[in-house]
Amino acid sequence: MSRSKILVKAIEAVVLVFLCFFIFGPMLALVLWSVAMKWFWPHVLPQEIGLDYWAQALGLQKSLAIGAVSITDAFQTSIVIAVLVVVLAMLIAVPAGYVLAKYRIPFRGAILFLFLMPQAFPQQPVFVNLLFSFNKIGLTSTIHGVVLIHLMVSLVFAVWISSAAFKGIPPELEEAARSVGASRLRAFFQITLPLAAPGLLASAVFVFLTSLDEFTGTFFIGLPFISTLPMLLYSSSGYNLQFASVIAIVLLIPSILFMVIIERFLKAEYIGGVGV
Amino acid sequence: MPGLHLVGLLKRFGKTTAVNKVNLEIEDGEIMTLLGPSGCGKTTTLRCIAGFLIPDEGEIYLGDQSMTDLPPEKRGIGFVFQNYALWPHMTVFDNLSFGLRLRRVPRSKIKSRVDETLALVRLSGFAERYPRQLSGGQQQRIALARALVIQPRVLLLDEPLSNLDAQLREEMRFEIRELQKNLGITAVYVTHDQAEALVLSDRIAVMNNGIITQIGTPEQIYNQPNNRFVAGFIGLSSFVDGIVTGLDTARAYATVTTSDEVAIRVPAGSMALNQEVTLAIRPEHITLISDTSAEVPPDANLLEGEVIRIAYLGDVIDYRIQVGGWTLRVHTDTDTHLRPKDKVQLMIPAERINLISPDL
Ligand SMILES: Nc1ncnc2c1ncn2[C@@H]1O[C@H](COP(=O)(O)OP(=O)(O)OP(=O)(O)O)[C@@H](O)[C@H]1O
Ligand SMILES: [Mg+2]
Repeated sequence: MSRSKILVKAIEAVVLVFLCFFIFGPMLALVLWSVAMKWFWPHVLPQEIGLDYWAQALGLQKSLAIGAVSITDAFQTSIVIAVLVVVLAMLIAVPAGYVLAKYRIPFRGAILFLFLMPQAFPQQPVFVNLLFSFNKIGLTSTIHGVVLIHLMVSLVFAVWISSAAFKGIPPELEEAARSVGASRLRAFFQITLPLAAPGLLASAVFVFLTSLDEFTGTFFIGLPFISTLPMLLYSSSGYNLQFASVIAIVLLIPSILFMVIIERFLKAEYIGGVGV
Repeated sequence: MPGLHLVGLLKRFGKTTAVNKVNLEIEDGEIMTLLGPSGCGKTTTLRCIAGFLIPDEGEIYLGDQSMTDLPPEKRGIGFVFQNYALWPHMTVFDNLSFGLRLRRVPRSKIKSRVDETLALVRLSGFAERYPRQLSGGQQQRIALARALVIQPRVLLLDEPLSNLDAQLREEMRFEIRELQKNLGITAVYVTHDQAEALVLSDRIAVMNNGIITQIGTPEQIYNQPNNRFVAGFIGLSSFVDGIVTGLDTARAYATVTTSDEVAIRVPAGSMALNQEVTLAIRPEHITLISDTSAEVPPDANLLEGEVIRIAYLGDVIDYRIQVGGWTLRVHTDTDTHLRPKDKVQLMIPAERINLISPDL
């Protein structure tokens, strides 16, 4: 091995160690905190470990810390909201992305700008304003209201990603289908859509994770009745680090799961041919 | 199978007129090539025929049936794309059977039709492969097979060979023509490669700037170009401008005098005295004579010139020769050994000179 190669390897190793430290270090701390029954300074490791907080969080054991709100309830709320947001976002983002990618539609800039609007201002004033208007039509503290807020936050990216997914597919593929007898609709569903699927899935995952993590909007519109995982995390993190750690880990699980699914899917047989 | 008929086809993109009032009649079972430089509107014409584009003006007929308002899926036209456009998520079998399933061909028949068509393009046994597991040439054949398997009324091909290497390209020219003749299918072939067009066409329509400038058999296009563009685009031509100064109707020759007073004898055609004309002369139709005693046919022109540039092209030597105020390109076999500044005599048989109107 030449000297420069050794140097490269050494740098790689250092970078890797640092990465591990930054990614897995905090995760390890989270895991430790979630099982720490007793952990006082200056001890490096918890003095006493146990699954009490997990049991409490999952409602298996009566919780002293938070009382009425269990993680399972919040988890359920979070998932229901996230799924609804994904379905609605994709119902809009798939056709919108397709049209934006394929046609030179008039006012294209204006339309993209419209999607971008909610992102263009500081979030808090926007949400406070929405709180007033949502209040008038009775959307505050409802699932619908929170779903709408999450949709607003994630839609521009959903449309953007799916438009990119459609742009990557040569229009000739659809034309070839037309010429052998497929209607516009069939060509879309049997040729373009399957080929765009990985990109659309990425878009859906992005929306799902955004919704799962969303805090500010949910805080203004959802409270006091809608409590999602990030709400719970926030309200418990001040005085109960163990409980907060449990929630944080629960929040991580869907993300990691989705990463695995995406990885699987992006490696699927036919993706290699996309863009030919 | 009926012929294809374009009437006054016009297509604009914003301010550019990509196809400008094109009229074209392609006969039943004929293979017609649209030949022209990049951007002249070949693809646009083809896409209008296929129905991917809606023309701004004009009509497209297949036999007596107007197709102008039919969507692509109702036209029964096969299209072979330059980039093949095979569906990457389907096997070769699925690529071919897609159109058959849409036509509700029974399952058992689908299999045999696909097999037959694969045999036709000599790729039997490739049915289970994915497009990316095929070479460029094989993908090209599958694209052809996919267009043919639905038994289209017309086959359209848009530069189908341009992504192949030179040798395969040459082979495929014959193969495509043979296939087209065996099936008796009406075909329109688009290319900017003149050799390809000359080899595989029944007739060639030469396009420039959205206009068809000449239609004819490969021989007509090559030997009797009727305008400057065709003469320069297909094969090489040198051009000389002049005025008709003498007519010898008895022997059907005319004399054209150039601005520097060189008189050239040409076939009279339908020329009038004092008419301005342009002469187009092919490099291979000019003979260099260094020996003045060489035998010269009575109708031939003899001109004096001086070598100004020499290019060795392998099979021929390409000379540029100054004659008066203009230059002629001359191709000779590689036995001649002239050098720049050498004086030469050129012999051009009168009937080898093409007359074209100077304005085109
Ligand atoms: N979708 C489009 N939008 C705008 N202009 C277009 C479009 N398609 C073609 N054009 C223009 O129309 C003209 C003809 O294009 P076309 O693709 O028919 O040329 P072509 O003869 O096929 O050229 P090539 O040999 O390069 O493929 C060109 O000037 C081109 O820029
Ligand atoms: Mg083209």
